[in-house]
Amino acid sequence: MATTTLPRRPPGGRFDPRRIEATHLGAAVHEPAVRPPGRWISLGIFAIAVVVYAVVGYHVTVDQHVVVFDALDRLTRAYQVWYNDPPKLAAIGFSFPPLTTLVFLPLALIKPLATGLVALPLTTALFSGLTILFLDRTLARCEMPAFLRIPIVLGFALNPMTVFYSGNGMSEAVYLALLSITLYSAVSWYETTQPRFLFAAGFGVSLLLLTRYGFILWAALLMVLIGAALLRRNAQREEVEGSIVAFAAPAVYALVLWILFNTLIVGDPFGWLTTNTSQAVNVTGMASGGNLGFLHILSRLVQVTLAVFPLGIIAVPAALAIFVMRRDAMGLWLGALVILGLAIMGIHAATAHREGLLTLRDAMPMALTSVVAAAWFYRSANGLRLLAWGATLVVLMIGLFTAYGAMKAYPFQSQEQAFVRAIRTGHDQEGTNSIGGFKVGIRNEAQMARYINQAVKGRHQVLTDNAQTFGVILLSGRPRLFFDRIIRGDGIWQEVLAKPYGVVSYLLVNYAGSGDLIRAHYPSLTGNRRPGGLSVVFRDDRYLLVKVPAKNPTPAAGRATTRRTSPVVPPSAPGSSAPKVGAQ
Amino acid sequence: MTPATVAPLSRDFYRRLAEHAGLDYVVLDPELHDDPDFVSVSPLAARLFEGEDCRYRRMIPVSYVENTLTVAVAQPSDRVARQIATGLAAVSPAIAATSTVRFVVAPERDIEIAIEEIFGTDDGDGERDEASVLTKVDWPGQHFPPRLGGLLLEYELATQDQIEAALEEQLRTACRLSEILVAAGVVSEEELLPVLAEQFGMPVIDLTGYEPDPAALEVLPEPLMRRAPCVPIAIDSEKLYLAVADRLDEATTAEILQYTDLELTPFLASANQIEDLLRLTFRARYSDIAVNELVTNFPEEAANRVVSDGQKAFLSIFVVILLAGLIIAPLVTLIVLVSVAGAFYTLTTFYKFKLTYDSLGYGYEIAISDEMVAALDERDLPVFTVLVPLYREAAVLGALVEGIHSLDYPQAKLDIRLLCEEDDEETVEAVRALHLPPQFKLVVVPDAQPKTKPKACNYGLIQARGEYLVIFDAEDRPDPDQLKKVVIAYGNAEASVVCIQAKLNYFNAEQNLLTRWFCTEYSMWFDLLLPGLAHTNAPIPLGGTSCHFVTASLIELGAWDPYNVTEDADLGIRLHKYGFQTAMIDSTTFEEANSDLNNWIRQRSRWIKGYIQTWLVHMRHPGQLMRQIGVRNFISFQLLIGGTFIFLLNPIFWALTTLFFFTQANFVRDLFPSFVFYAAAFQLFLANFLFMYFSVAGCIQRGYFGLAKYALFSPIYWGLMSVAAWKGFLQLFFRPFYWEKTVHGLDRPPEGSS
Repeated sequence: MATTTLPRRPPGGRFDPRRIEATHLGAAVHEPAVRPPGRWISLGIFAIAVVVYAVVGYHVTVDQHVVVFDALDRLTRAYQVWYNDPPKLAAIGFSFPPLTTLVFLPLALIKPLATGLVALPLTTALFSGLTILFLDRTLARCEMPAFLRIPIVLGFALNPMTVFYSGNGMSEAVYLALLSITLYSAVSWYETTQPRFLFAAGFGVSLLLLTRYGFILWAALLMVLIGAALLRRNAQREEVEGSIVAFAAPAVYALVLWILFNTLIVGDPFGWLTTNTSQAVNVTGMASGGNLGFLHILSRLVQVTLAVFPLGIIAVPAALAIFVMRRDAMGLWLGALVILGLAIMGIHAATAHREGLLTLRDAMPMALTSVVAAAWFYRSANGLRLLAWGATLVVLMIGLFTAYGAMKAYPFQSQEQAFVRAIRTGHDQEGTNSIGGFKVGIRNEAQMARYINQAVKGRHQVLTDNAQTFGVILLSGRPRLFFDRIIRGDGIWQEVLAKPYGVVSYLLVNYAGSGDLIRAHYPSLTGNRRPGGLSVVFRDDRYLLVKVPAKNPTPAAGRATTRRTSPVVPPSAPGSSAPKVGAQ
Repeated sequence: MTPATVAPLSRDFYRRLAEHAGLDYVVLDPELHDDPDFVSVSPLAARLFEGEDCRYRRMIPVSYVENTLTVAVAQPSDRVARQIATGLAAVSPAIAATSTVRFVVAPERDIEIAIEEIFGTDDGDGERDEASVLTKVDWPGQHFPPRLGGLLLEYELATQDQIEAALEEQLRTACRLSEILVAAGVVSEEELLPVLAEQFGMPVIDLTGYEPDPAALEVLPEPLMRRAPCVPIAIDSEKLYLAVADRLDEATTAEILQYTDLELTPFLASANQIEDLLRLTFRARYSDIAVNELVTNFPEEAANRVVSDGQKAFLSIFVVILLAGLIIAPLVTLIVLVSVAGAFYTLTTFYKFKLTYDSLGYGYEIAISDEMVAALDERDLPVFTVLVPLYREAAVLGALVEGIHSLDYPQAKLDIRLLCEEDDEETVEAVRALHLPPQFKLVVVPDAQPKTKPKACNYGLIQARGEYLVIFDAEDRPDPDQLKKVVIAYGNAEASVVCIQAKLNYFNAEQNLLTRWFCTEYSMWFDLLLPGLAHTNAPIPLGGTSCHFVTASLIELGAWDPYNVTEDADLGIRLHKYGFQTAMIDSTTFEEANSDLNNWIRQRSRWIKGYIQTWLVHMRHPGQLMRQIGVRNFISFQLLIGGTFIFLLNPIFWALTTLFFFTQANFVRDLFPSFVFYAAAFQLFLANFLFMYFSVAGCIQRGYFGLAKYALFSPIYWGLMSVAAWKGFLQLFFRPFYWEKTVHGLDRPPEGSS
C-alpha cells in the first residue's frame, strides 16, 4: 500500500508573502563612515551643555532678574498643578501649547526650585543639553568626524540667542530639543530605514506641535514629503500608507486629544488656534499694528534670517540643489522646512496684522534646521566637503555677531536686549527697560507676594485672575491662599467676582495691563470711588490688593459701580484667557 | 546434528503467532506425532519447492491435497516469504494452475527438522545460493547480505530512479535508505519490513493486535523497552522473544542481558508497531506520567491546586483588611486601591515601552541567514520530534500534513507525533485514512482528566525520539527552514539555552477586522516584546507553538503542566526558575487567527485564565521565586504575567471615566485625588496611546505596513480582551482546568460554498 506522498516546497527564501521590505529612500541603505558618538561621549556633551546653560541662565534669570513672563506664567501653572488646593491638571490651561507647561512639572514639584525660579534656567538647560546632544549625533550621521563637528556644534551652541533661550525657561529650548530629536530621527530613518527612527520622528513631531502650534504645518509637510519620497522610490501603497500612519499617528492623536479637551472643558474645540498666546512680545504694540505689505514682511523676514540664522541663506539653496541634482529627498525636506518656517511667520503676521509677531525667537527652529541642512549638504558634497564645512563654520561665526546685534536692537523681542546688557555689564537688570516696553524684573511680584504671605490667613481668601497675577502666586509659594480661576472653574469664579463679600477677603488685581478680569469687572478699583466698601490695603507699581468686607455695605451702589464685562474667554475656560501683562 | 526439540513454552509462542495471524498451527516434529496438531510432512509435496528456498525462507510445503498446497511457515508476518511461496506454486509445473496455497504456522525448529529430513543437511556455509533462488536483477556491486535497494528492485517495490534518488539523499543526510524510502512514501512499512528481515536475516513479526506475554513483559523495565526500542513478546524456559525495530546492537543487548539470562530471540517489527504496542501495554502508566509527572516531582510547580494554603490565608487576610477598610474608611480604602492600580498600570506601561522600543531596530532574535542554512551539513542533523496536538481537527489534517512535509528537514529525521484524543474518533480515523508515512505517528491519548493540550503533549513526549522537540498546532505553517535554523541556533547558543521560541503570526490576517487586530497584537508581542525580554534574559512566557526544546531538558523539568491552560507560559517561567534560558529566533510560524468573535473570546479567556494560573502557581513562594530568578526578573514577572490583571481592571476604570465625563459625579472625582489623578490621566491619555502605538510599531517592524492603520483602533480590541478576561477569571473559580477549545479551520469557506 503506497503512502501519501506530497510535494516539498523549495527551501530557503522568504516565506511571508505579506511582508514588505522597507524601501530605501536613499539610493541604498547607507552605513555612515563616521561612527555615532558613544554613550559616554554623548552624556558628556549633554552634561557640559546643561551645566553651562544652567549657570548662565541662573545668573541672568535669578541674579540679574531678566525674567521672561511667558516662562514665569508656565512655571506658575506647573506649580499650581501640584500645589493648588485642590491640585488640578487644568492649571496647565487650554490656550497655550500644553507641553510648555508640562515640562516644568518635575522641577515644580520641588517647591524651592519653583519659587526661587531656579526651575526656569534648569529646565531649559536640560532641554538645550538634549538639543546639543542630538545635533552632534545628527552631524555624525552626516559623516562629519568629531574634529569637524565640534566647531559647528559650538557655533550653534554659543550663539547668544541659543544661550539666552537655553536659560530663561522659555519654550524655545523645549521645541529645539524636540526638533533636534525629530531631525536626527528623520535623517537616521532616511539612512537606515529602521522603523524605530520613524517612530521616534513621529513622537518628536507629536510633542513638537504641543510646544508650538505652528509645528502642525511642519508635521503635515513632513508627512506629505515622506509619502512622496516613498512613492518616488516605487514603494507599495501599503508601505506608504503604513509609514505615514506610523509617523503621523502620535501627532494626530495629540491634536485630537487637545481638540477633545478644548471641546469638553473650554467648549471651543479650536479656540486654541485663534487665541493670541504670547504675552511677552512687543507689549507696547510699537509699530506692530496695521496692514502689513508683502514687501515689508519680506524685508523683516530677511532681517530676522540674517540676524538669527544667516546660515540658512546658503544651506537652504544647497540642500535644494542636492534634491534637484541628485533627487535626494532629504535635501528637499530640510530646505522645505526652513522655507515653511519663514512662510508661517510671515503669513501669521500678515493675517494677524501684527508685525510684532515677526520675532527673533520665532526664527530659532529654522536656525537649527539650517545647521542640519548644511550638514546634509556636507554629507552629499563628496568632493566639496571641506569647503562645505568651512563655509558653514564661517557663516555660523558671523551669526554670532548678527544675533548679538539684533538682540540689542531688533524691535520685536522678548527681553533679548536685557539679556545682552546683563551679559555685557554684569549688572542686575531689575527695574530697567527692554525693547518692546518691558520693565525688567519681578520686584513688584515679590513685594506683593511678601505682603500677602504676611497678611492673608486661610485658604482661597484672595480672589485673583491668575492669568494676570501668576508671578505673585508663584513667589508667594502658597497658591492655596488664592481663589483663582482654576480651582472651581471660571463659572464659579465669575459668580464670586460678582459677589465676593463673605466668600473671599481680598481681591488681587494687576492694574498695569488691560487684561485683568477683576479690573475689568470693577473698573473703578484703581480710582478713588471704589465700589461696595472695597479698600486698597497694599499697592505697588503693578498690583493692587483690595480688602473685601464680609458684607456688601451698599449692594445697590455695588451694582451701579460695577459692570459685567464680556469675559476674554468663555466662562468655562479656567485660566485660559489670553493674558496680557501690559507695560511692566 | 540432531536438532533439539522445541520447548513447550516456545510452541505456545508459535501457536499464539498463528492465532494472531489467523492461521492454523501445526507441529511437524515427528517425535510429537501424538500431538493433536501434528502434521506429517509429505516428501512429495515438500519437494515441490527447492531446498534452498525452504531453508532461506523458513518454510516447507507439508501437503498437496485437492488442489491445495499447504505450506508451513515459521513467520506468518513474513509477507515476502508468503508471496514467494505463492509465486513458486504458480510457476511449478507440478501444481495445477487452479491450486491455492494455504499457510500454516509451525515452530521454526520443526521446519528446520523437516527440511533436514526431506532435503538433507545444509552444505554448511549457511549462505543461500542467490542465483538459484531470487536474484533476477542485475544490480551492480551486489554483495551478501543483499543490498536493500537490490531487494526492493527485485520485488518491484521501488524503481531504479526512486532508489537512486534515495541513495542521493542518503549520501546527503546519512539517513538509512529504508527510512528515506518509507518517509518518502515509496514503500510502506508493511512492504519494507519483510525485506529488511530478509536483509538482516531475522524473523519478522506483525504486532498489529498482538498481546505480549505478561510474563515476558515483566522481564525488562519499561524505560529500556522504550529506549531500545523493543517489546518482550513471549518467554519460555530458554528464550526471551523480543520484537525489535532494528538489529540489537551490543550495548542494548548487554543492557537487556542485565535483566535476563535467557537467550534473546529478536523478531523484526516496525518501530511504529513497537511504539503502539508499548503504548497499549503501558497505557495506564503513560497516562499517569502525562498527568502526574509534574505533580509528583514538582508539586509546588503544578497548577492542580488553584491557590495554595498560604495563598488562601493571605487572600483571606487581605479580604478582611479590605472589608474593614471599606467599613471604617471607605474613601481612603478605595483611593489606596485606585492608587495601587494606577501605579501598577504606570510601571507596566513603562516596562513594556522600554522592551518594545529597545527591540525596534535591533535584532534581538537569533538571526540565521539563508547562507548558513544552505551551508548546513544535513548528515549532522539530529532527529527532531514534532508534536501536533489535535482535537476535532480532521478538517485541517490535509493542510497540516502538507505543512510538515514542506519542512526543509530530512523527513527520515523527523519524528512527527499526531496526538489525538481517544474520544475524537473522527480525527483518529481521518489520520488513519491518510496512510501517512511512518515518520507521522498517530498517538491516541487515553481519555482521562484533565483533558488538556499539555497532557496530550506530555503523553506524546514519553516516546519522543528527537534530540529536539517542537510543538506545532494543526493549522500551523512554519517557515520551511525553521527546524534547520533552530539546530544551527542551538549549535551556537550557550548550554543554558534549552528553548528557542520562533515568532508566531497569522496567515489569515486579512480575513476580517478581528484577525487584523489579532495580527497586529501578535506582531507586537512576538516581534518586539518577547525579543526584548529575551535580550534582557527575563523569563519569557512561551508561545503555544513553535517553541523548540532540548528534549532531555524538557523531561528534566517535568515537561508541561497538564493542569495549566497556558502551559506554554508556565513552562517559560519554570524553565527560567531552574537556571535555563529561552532565546528567540528570527523565523515565523503562521497560524490561523481566530476570525469568529465567540471563538476568539473562548480562546482568549483560556489564555488569560492560564496566565492567572501561572501567576498564582509561581507566587506560592514569592521569596523563593525572587531568589531563583532575581529581583529584576521578579519585577518583570509581576509586570508581564501579573499584568494580566490589567484586563480585569480596565472595564472598571473605563466605566469610571465614562461616568465622570457624562455626570461629573463627585464620588468619581474623590477617588482620584491629585497625584492619583495625574497617574490615571497619564494612563488614560498617554499609556493607552503608547500601547496602541506598540501595535503599529509591531506591524511596521514586521513589514506589515498595511495593518498599521487597524492597530489604531486597538482600544476596541482591548475591550474584547477585558470581556474574555472576566470570563476566564470567573472560570478559574468554577472550572479551573477546563480547556476552552479553539475551533480551527474558520479561515476557509464552508464546504459547498463557492
